[in-house]
Amino acid sequence: MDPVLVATGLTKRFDERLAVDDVGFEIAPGETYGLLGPNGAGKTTSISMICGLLRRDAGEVLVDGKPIDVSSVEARAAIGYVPQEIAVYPDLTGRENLQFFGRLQGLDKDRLDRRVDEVLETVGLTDRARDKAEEYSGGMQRRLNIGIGLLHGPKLLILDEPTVGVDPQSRNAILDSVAALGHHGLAVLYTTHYMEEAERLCDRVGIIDEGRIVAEGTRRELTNLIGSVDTVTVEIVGGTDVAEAVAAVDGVSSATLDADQLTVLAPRAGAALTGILDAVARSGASVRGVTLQEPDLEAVFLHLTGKALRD
Amino acid sequence: MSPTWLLTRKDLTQRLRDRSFIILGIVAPFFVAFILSLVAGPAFDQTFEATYVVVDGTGLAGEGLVEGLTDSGIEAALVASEADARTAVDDGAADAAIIIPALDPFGAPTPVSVYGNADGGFALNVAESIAGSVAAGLDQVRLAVAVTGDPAAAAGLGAVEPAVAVQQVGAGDQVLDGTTYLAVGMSIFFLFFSVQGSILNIVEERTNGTLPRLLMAPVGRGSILLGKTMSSAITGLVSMAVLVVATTLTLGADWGPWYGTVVLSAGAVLAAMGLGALIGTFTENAEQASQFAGIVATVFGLLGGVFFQITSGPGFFDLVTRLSPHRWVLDGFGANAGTGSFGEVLADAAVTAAFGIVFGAWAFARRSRLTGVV
Repeated sequence: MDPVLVATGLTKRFDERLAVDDVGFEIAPGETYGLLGPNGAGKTTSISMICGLLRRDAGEVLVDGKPIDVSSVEARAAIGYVPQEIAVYPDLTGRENLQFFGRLQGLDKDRLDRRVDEVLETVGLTDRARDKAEEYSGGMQRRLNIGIGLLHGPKLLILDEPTVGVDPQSRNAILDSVAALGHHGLAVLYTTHYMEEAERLCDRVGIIDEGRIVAEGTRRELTNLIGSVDTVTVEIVGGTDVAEAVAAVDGVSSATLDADQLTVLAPRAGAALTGILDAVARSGASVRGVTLQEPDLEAVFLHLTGKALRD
Repeated sequence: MSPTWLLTRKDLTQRLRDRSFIILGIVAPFFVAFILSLVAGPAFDQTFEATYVVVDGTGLAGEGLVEGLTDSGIEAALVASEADARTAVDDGAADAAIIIPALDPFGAPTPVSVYGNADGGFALNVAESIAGSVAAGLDQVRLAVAVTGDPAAAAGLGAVEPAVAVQQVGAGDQVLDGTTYLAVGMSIFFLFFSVQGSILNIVEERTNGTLPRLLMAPVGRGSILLGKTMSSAITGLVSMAVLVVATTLTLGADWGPWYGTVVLSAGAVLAAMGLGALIGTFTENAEQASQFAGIVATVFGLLGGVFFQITSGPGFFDLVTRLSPHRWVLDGFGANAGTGSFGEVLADAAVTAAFGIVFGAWAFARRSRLTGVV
């Protein structure tokens, strides 16, 4: 099956700063692709180029087989775009927002009425459709924001960090909605700096840092990149040269200290745990908490870039 | 429905719902004009009034002087002697006495003096000015007699008369009465706020993410920008139309012929749109755009004379005021309501519109700053 999105060699420079450097990936129908990276990594710049909202210095974008750039018109109909901001009109009702953007997308009246009702149902806003968007909670506004992107039945839905600033309950509702989209054959490009979201939603993930995709694959493929390395997080108080002492323990790959949090990577952390805690105690630090985690995308990111996702 | 009209209709709906159009476009200019016309209107219509008495030692210049002053709307009368003149001033019957001594063609220059109270103010200043003018005229006659040696040349004293005409100046070439001036001034002043606010809505849409969403629709970007522009134009023209009717019916303002009013309003709307678009390219967000637009509209308004009448004439200040589109609109309405031809009105409207075209072209060159597509 032909990919819905093919992006190759995307490059963007702002003055002297190289914001995006040779980024490329493909998304198949029904696939959810995650672009995972910290703030400023180049996620929004990349999708702005994919959407034709930003001129690219190099590279090519094909959506549904048609090239996209800033001068494209019809080809943009294949894309549903959900920006990071809550891009709705607060003084229009939920239904009016959907009707306006639907008409702008060229939907005829019958299809518009049907799609508005369907989308309101999908995002759980049917009961509040007549209320102005400014009267919605943040989570409801976010859902309306996503609904507008879905309205015209695009082949590719691009969501730029859609859960930023959302409470946990609304966040779960949004993630459930997005998870269901792939089942309907929609290709989804999802950018986030939340590792859990990428793990939960995405079939494949591209890890982006400083404008470059440093790794790409399924969760399993990515965690295999660092071997079966577990992560031990130790909350400590005091101590000197704690990281160095722990790094010297048998079975420990690396240890880094960030404020009072010691992050230790070990192939079999369970076996090395006693030695790790002994080393912490010998360094004069007291332990306030310990967590052990099997490999995840956070660990992959740490392994590949030497920094945490939220740095 | 075309995308352009769809966007225009959406913007107009929003402008009506948030009441900004009603408040900025209609209520504020009407009430400010109304209040100012009550407070300051009479001052706008004020004319110079004074009463002078004239003593004529030459027996030739006084009659012409009194006639000239009377023709200028100033009360003046000849009296027989300097003592009578001083009495009239001392009794408060006259503001000043202009005393013309007998002419000595072969003697020294004739000093024309003024008698008045020290606190005579503007009336005394005007009398002194007139006296100086008469003295200059007399001196020319004295010199003519001295050079020719012909006392008959003294008959030329009659030529002194025109030099003492006093011109009542209102708003230069403009002939708007105080109430109309304030109605026009406030309408134009708030029109710029209203139209600029409408077009700067693009900046707000850029900031809150709806503009990228609009630009993602499968319609030409020109249609999107045209839709935003049309809502500004409609906002401005409707606002002006309502204000013209309201101030005419309630305040008695006289805007002049409707066709002149239409072309001048269109010119003003175009200028405000161009200026608003240009401001949008220099600002980062809606709040900054609003502040910047307010400052620019106020400075241009003050410079253009929306709060006070600016007298036409040469000089640096006059040149500076012509850098404001408001000045040209006001001049245009002055011509429209007064004795100006429609050609003059069109010229003023054209210059006003040219401001909009220049500002708009500049904004177009910087459009990537407005839309965020770089």
